[in-house]
Order: sequence, then structure tokens, then C-alpha cells
Amino acid sequence: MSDARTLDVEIDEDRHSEHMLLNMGPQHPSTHGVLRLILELDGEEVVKAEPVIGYLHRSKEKIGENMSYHKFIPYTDRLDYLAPLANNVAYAVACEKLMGIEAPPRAQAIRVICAELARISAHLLGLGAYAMDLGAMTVFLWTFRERETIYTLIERICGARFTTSHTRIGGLATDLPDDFIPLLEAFVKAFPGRCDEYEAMLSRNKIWVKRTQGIGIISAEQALAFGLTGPNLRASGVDYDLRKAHPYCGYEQYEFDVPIGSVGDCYDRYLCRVGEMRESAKILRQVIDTLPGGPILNRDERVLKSVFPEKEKVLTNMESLIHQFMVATESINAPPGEVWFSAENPKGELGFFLRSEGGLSPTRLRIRGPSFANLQILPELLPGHMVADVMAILGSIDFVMGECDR
Amino acid sequence: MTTPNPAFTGKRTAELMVPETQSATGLNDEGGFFATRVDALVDWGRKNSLWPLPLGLSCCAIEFMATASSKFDMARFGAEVARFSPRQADVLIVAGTCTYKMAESAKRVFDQMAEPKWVISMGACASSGGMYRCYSVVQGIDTFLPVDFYISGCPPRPENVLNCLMKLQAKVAGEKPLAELLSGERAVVAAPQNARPNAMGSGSVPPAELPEKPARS
Amino acid sequence: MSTLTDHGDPAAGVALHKAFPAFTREPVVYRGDVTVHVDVGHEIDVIRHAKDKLGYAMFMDRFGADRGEEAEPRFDVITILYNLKTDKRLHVCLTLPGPDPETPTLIPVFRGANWFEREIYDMYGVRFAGHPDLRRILMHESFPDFPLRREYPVEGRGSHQAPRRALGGTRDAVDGHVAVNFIPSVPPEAGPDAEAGGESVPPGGHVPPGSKP
Repeated sequence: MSDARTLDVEIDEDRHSEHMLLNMGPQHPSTHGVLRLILELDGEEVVKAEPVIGYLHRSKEKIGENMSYHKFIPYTDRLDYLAPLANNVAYAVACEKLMGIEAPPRAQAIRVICAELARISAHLLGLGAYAMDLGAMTVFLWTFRERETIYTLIERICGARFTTSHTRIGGLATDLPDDFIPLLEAFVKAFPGRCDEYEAMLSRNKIWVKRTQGIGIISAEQALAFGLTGPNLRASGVDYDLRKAHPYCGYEQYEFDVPIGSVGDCYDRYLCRVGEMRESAKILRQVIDTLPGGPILNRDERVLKSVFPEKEKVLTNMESLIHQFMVATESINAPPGEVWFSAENPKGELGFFLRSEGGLSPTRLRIRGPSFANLQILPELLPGHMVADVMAILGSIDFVMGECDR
Repeated sequence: MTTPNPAFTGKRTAELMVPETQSATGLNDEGGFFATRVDALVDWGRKNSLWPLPLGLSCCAIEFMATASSKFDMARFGAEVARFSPRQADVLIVAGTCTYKMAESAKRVFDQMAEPKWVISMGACASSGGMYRCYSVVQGIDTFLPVDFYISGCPPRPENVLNCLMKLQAKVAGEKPLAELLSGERAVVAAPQNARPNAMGSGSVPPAELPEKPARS
Repeated sequence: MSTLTDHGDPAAGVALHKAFPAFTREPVVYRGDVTVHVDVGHEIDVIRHAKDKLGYAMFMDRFGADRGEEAEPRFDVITILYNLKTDKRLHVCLTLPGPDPETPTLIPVFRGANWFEREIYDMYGVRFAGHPDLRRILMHESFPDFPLRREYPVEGRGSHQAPRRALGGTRDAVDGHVAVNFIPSVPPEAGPDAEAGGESVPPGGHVPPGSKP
């Protein structure tokens, strides 16, 4: 250091670093619900990010601990409200694991249809909303076109557009209607072409590429430390898909690939989601071809004890009336024990922990919402990015507050 | 359908009185005018450009998105301009479960909206707490917001949302803003004083305003 | 058909117990899920061992459970780990006493435990020593109870549900609910500070009973 060069001026290091606090949410279009972010900015650059959650805490766990196993099924619809059917499946399988029963093959195959339709529909919404956040309105309108088709299909299955409550412990509420398979076939046939359309709009779109590539890079180490799951984890290069690792509902019968990313940036996460939608269509194709016949409900005594008899019999038959009364008052008695089951949901690993001390309701019902873990990485991920990139990162994480806050 | 929908059968309020000397272009010789009551004109304008603020809290927000997008196309009713800034919106659509933690923000969003404003409570949760009778959920947003319309359903179908929008249009068409103003029934309301641009609004937040300043190294 | 009862690895549970015979119980296997119960004060070591030596490197979940008001010890803190190489899960269960539950934080081993521990604190009042930011996460800061404790009613206790300032209402004298509605929607004359009026929420939020600063 040469003394001659030293300026005799005291430079205020902090002069240009007056930080600004910017509040995003909970009412903000690109926080996809009621997430709140408190950003500390140095000019355009994020220095610190503090997510605040809990604005949609609906105390599902507490409610679940105070009602019977079956009654909780409608509440699972509203966990990840973009994929209610997949939540239904996960919860039903968790209860079946606790009871030690299994759904019959036809029910399991239909559950796969449900879960994959839900996956496509959730990714479509995620993709559409993500593209809209980054300024591509058309993609949003196009994905909703397909979503309406899927809603029509789901309506055929269970009568509701998305609060389905379709599974029962040990099986399903209703069988598929006769005209369902042709409708599904038409959808599966058309869908890869639709995916091509989205990709044509985005994958090589200069604006899209510039705004997503190299933005929000999550390393595999980070992803594992924070418990990230689903496409967010796989985009970082970790090959972990519960449908492969612990197949449930007969996923091992179907041939499909799991898209894996290499960089872990927003673009990779987008590619993984589009890839997964294509694979889901492939799985649906195979289920259509191999759909087994047979009953849709396990005839296990414990399950039968929880199913209402036909209304006509109730009005004419003494035993059925007693049965109806018993179902309404007692429902399922689970054995004491504790189990954990998690399913590969669109957003990641949706886990249910059930602890039973015998009796009608669980003493602990834990829901592990994948978005809860996925959002936790934001304070580490956002600093260093521009404010505009925050939208790109939030959209690519693709969270849903219903299961984050529960 | 025995009960006619008021949106269809209600009295036309914008009474366009076109002079008989009208030419084929719709303009008369004097350059074109039509006469109407000011109230009717204002109502006609208001009801066909209701800009919603979708306060999408949970599941219902997804059905609201469906209502706004391709198939159901809310633009047919002049309500496609969803504004996420309360300053630019007319109708607050509370779509979803409102928790006590969220109620603060919901109230503040409503306060920031300029008059005239209407509130639609979309779905069972917003209307009454719905299936969530629990410690964290507000049992109906009408405990702190003046709700004009409740939509049933969990979530309501898009058709139901559109139906509500038409009902709201009928209600707006029946209002007499100018007459009320002149007769003194309604005061001219300045911009809300209590809606400061702080933790809820955009703009910078002085650090002391933030209740949850993280204390981290 | 796919089986649901091979998700755990009993051998790993036994290996973990062998490594810490004094602080852990024999693994419990139920429907293929392997749970190792750990004594207070040794949880971190056991989980670190499972992570470094047994390959359970993926943090999946950490949550609390309540055995009921009378039970002693009362609270469980259950951690779910995953082994990506063998595709098996391992549950580590720590049981804490009812009064004054406290245990060291897991953050030094898994950074991801941060929010999960805040949630356990929020819902059960279990404190994690060494946690950098132990605040409520799901409920608002002024909420005084721990709602997932078994004795807490589902519908809440009424008097404290809303942060008062939030709704800008006047407090109902009877049960303390925030009072109803303002029609027409004309704003009050002064800002929200004046609304808060007499009793105000202390800065930084209410300190729940039973918690130490």
C-alpha cells in the first residue's frame, strides 16, 4: 500500500447501502395464496428474505384428532387444493396401513388414475400461474383449457369439480361410470400435443429462458438438508420418487420415467414439471389398458363396519338399520399403533403420521405438507437475487399454502 | 325456473332517450346526444365495469381463477380486470378461509378500497367458517366486513360466481348515488385515512412498523 | 400388489440401538415402520450418528405429539429420516416431560429442522435450546395457548382469537370476541393506532405462559 495514494477522505462504507424493507403479501398476486415475504433490499438486490406463513392455518391436525377416520377425508381435499384426489389417496392408504388392510386391485388402479389426473391438473395450474407471473398470459389460458377437461373427468368420477372426497378406507366411494374410459382415452391421446404447445410457447422463448435459467439454483446438498421433495428435489439432480422407491397402489406395474434435472435452477424445475405431466399421461394410458375388474371396496369386516348399507334395506330390514346406526355412531376402530405413510404428490412428499390408541379417532394426526419444507429454503435461496427474480423463484417452487399452513 | 333472475328481468335503468330526428349513424343533426338520468348513467357504467379484487385465500381462489379464465370467461360481464391493488378495485371478493391472522390484512385491504365498494363472500368458509369450526378460523368474514353477497358452495362452481356477479350488477343498477348525495343521505368520503401504505401496502416500510423484525445474526 | 410394510429397516434400528445401548430402547417395529426411542439429552447425538454412519442423510419430518395431560412423560418429538441409498425410513422418538419440556435443537445436524421446530413450539410449547429464532410460526404472535395440546378445545378458548389491533373493532364486554362490523364502511376518523385504544398488544407480541425468555 503506497502512502502517496492514500486519500485523506473518510469513506462512509454504508453510504450506498441504506437497506429498504419491502413487504410482499399476504395479499399479493404472485405469492399464490397467502404467503408473506419481508424482503430487505439493497437497491434492487435482495439481502435478506423472511417468509411469514400461517395465514391459512386451519388447524386440520387438531380437527383430525377429534373426529373419526372417515370423517376426515373431506378435510384432506383442502390440503393441496390443486390436487385433492391425490390427497384423498394418500390419506386413505395411510389409514389402510394403520388398519392393516388393502384396497382391491380395481380400486388401486382407479386411485392411480385419480392421482395422475390430479398431478397433471396441479402442474398445469402451477405452470400457468408461473408463466402469468412472468408475463406470459396465453399459457395460463391454455392450461386452464386442459384443466377444465380434467375437471369434467373428475366430475364424472365423483360429482364434484375439485372437492372430491372420493376415496374410502379400503377402497373407493364409487366406481367409474361407463362412459369414463373413452373420455379419459381422448384426453390422454390429446394431451402430449398440448404439452408440445406449452413447450413451444416457453422452452425456447428468449424472455422465459433469460428469466429462469441460472436463477434460484438449489444444490442437491441444500435440497436434502431442507427436506425438499417432489419436482423441486428432482430438478436438483436427486433421483427420489416415492412411486419408484416405495410403490403404493400398484405403481410398480407401470412403466414410466422420472425426469431429473441437472442444474437445479428455475428452468430445470419447469422442465421437470412438464416432463412429469407427459409421464403421467403415459401412466394413464397403461392404466386404461390394464384396468382390472372386480370390487372397489375391501370386504374386510372392519371396512364393512364403516360402510353405510343401502338406503332401501335400511328402511325395510332390521339388521341394516342397526348397521346404519352403528356406522353413524362408531365407524372404524383402529388398532393401537403408529404408522407413517407418504405419497408422491404433485408438490412433493405428502406424509401422514397416524397414532392410534385404539378407538374411533387418532390421538395424533400429523400432516407433512411438502410446501412447508419447500418454502423453508427461501431465506437461503432469495438473497443475492433481484426483486423481479423473486417472482420467478416463487413460481418455480410451486407451493400451495393449504398444505403449508394446514 | 319459476323465479326470474332479476339481472335479466329487472327494469332497465339506463333509459336511453334517442331523439326521433336521429340519423342512420345514431347521431342526430346536432352532433349526437342522448338524455338520461345521471344516476342511471352512473349505475350503468358502474355495473358493467366492476373491477374485482380477488382476495384469494384458499381453495375458492382456484375456482375464481377458473371463473376468470378460458371456459367461463368473466369478461362477458365486464369484470375481467382483476386488480390486486385495492385502490383500483370496486368489488372485494373474499375467496376462501379467513383466519384470524389473515383478518388483519383482509380488513386493511377493504379499508384501502375507494368508495363505492362492495364485498362478496365466496364460499362456505368466508361466509360462516364453513367446515372449520376451530380456534384459528374467523367464523364468517361478516364479523368484520360489510358483506353484500354470500355465495354458497365449497367451493362454489364458477356458474355460481357468475350468478352472484349478475345479482351484484342488479344491485348496483338500483343504486341512486347522485340522488343520495344531493339529499345529504350520503357524505362525500375522502380517501380513507386509516389506510396507510405500510405493512400491507406497497412501498417502503419503516423498520419500526414491522411487528416481526427477525432478530438474526 | 405393492406392499406398505417394508418402509423401515429393522437392522438399522438395531444398529442404532447397539451404538447407544445406554440411551436408546430396542427399536419398535409396527407395520414395518421402525421407531427408536431416545432418552432426553441424547437425541442429537443419535440422529447425527444415523445421518453420518448409517446413511440417513435426508431430513423428512420433525413433529410433536401429546400423550395426554395425565401422561408422564408427556410430549413426543418424532423425527423422520430417510436413507436415499437403501430407500428406508427411520423414526427417532424423543419423549419429554410435561412441565417445562425442553430439548436441544436439531439445526446443527439438519438446517431444515428450523421451521419444524418452530411449529412444535407453536403447537405444543416445547422449547428448543439453541434455536436461533424460536417464535410462533402458524399462529399470530399474540396467541397465548398451545393449541395442539390435548386439553385445548378445537374451537378455541374464545377470548384471545383475534389480535385486537387487527380487526380494529371494539372489544365485546361479554366474552372478549372482537366485535362486529361497521356499516357503512366509512373509516374511523383516526388511524389504526387510535383504534387500538385502551389496551394494546405489547410490542413484540404476547409471551405465552410457561415459556421462558
